[in-house]
Amino acid sequence: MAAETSLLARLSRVLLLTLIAASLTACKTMPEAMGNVPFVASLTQKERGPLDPLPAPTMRVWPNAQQDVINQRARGMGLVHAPETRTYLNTLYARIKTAAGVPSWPGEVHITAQATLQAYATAAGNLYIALPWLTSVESEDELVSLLAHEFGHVYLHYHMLEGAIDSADTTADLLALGVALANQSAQATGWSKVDTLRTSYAMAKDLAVAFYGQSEEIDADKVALHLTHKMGYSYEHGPKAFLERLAGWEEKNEGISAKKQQELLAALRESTLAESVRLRPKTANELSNAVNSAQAEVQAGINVAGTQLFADIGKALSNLTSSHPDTLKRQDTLAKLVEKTPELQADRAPVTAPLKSMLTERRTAQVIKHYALAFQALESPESPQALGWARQSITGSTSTHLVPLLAVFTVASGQPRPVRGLPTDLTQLFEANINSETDRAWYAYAERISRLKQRGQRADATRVLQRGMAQFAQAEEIMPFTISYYGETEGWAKAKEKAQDCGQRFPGAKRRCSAAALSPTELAEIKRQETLKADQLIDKLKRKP
Amino acid sequence: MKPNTRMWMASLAVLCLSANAQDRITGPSPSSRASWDLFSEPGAATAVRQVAVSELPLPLVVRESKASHHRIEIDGQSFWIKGSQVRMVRGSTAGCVPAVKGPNLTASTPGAVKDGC
Repeated sequence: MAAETSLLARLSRVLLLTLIAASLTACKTMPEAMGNVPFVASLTQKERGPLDPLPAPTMRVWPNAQQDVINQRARGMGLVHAPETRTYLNTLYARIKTAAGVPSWPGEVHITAQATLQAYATAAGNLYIALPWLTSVESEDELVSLLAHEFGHVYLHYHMLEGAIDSADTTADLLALGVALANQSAQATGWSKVDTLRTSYAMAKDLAVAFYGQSEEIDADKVALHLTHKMGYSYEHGPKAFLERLAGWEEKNEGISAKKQQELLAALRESTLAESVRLRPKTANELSNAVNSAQAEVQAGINVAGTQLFADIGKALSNLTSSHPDTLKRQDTLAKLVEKTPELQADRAPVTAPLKSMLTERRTAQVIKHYALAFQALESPESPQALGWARQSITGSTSTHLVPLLAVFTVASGQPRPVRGLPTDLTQLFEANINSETDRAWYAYAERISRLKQRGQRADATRVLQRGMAQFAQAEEIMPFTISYYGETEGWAKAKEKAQDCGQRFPGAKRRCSAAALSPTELAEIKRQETLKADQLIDKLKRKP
Repeated sequence: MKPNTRMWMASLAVLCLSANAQDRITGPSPSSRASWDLFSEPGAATAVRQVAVSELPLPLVVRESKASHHRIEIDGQSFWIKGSQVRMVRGSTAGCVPAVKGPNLTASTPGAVKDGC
């Protein structure tokens, strides 16, 4: 136990030193790149009052909004086709843009097929909000606050960060490559200065992005406070309620991740015990067996403690490098601004009628109900009612939506015998989504391709891939999957060619494309090197007093 | 539209817009606030009592909300507290469904919340 505590202390010291080194590196590189991002200085250095006009927006080149939507269809589970709901959301978005003085800016609101409270904005001006937001917000004030917050990211042009990260990544790649070549000739083995440099760089980037991202969230909250007030909404039912909803979601998530970690530790303990029993020779000697069994218990305990230790360090680091500040900090920032501004304290009744009307609109209500059933079926596919929930979810306006189809696929796949009325090859269910202009999501192609490939139907799989590539030609999100597919079916040399082409067409996806072109042998070698270095680092830490 | 469908939609809207039934007061707003004003009714001009935040057991259950005030109970007695003076934790219909793959987001796609599940 004392040795573990000492190891933890040494690891923490090393990480702290690395972080200090990292922040020094960051001073030299990232802020320089970020200095080009508009408003960073003006918003973070000079405090603006919440009622002061927003800083004038800068001119920009808008990425194609339609292409952006296709790319989002290739992310996660795609988008939810609910035209009446989107009409309402886009009316609100148009009013937000008008209030900000930029009524002609491009971009629309889209609904993502997620069960979480996800929301994000892209440089094309599009806002993407997860379906549960619609049934969680209690008023239009709160919904407009969410949209205005996301619009704040677009207005402040924070997407320029993407360019800053990309250029820094390229610099780091070149630097690492040069030093690696020099090291090769010197036959350097083990943990070297290159690794320290690489680690420092990676952490520097994370830290710089975190500091930048944290101020960005608060600035976007301030934009939302300004715009919602200007549009006649209440602070209490708007921005304040929105942040309180986030706090509730984060609290729920923390409980889920703690439970997951406990389950992981229990599984690790079990597997260590089983492995120890397998490796130790069985003897007839009862005492030897008892000693072996006790040693296995101790080993399992050490492994669990070690994992817990790394999990704790990981958690501390992830809080430090999170791009989102604590919600409490965001809440306090707005509350203090409101305290100083009597106009913002005025009681304004929440606007609920239009939201209620949207929720009771026929198709919207059906979409919400069917997704709730599909999520329920996916959460408990073994429930006796799951098939009924899933089948109901693919009726009416959601018959070609991906999530309900996935629910039927998942539940039916777990049934002891074929389900009447469903195709024998259940992956055919995804064809309904693939053939739908409005609902098509890349996930359906990927699932169908993978299953066909697993069954050895390579020609069929390739045909589905080609159909998908025709529909998603402009989506960088599909590139890593297609590169891996070509690697597995036509050789890794072809995959590397495709990766090079991907890097030229989509600079933002260059790293992911290169990684997708690594053969299993190359990946195994990388893993072996990483394990070796990790072991060497730990040995080094254990040796030093 | 069938009557039962209409009824279902109406109850959905009521359910969605009354999520505050589970809401809890978890602290003062801003968190540096040391005391709360308690009112006998929502919107009353003057407070009937002032109480130090440290004296109340948190979280406080919100019994009812009206006109930007929340009704709470202290020692069995009802009081109204200004919504702007409290920090709440609000519920949501969101959840974590492992089979539903989340979008692969980057630092350049800023979102409203930390990572999902």
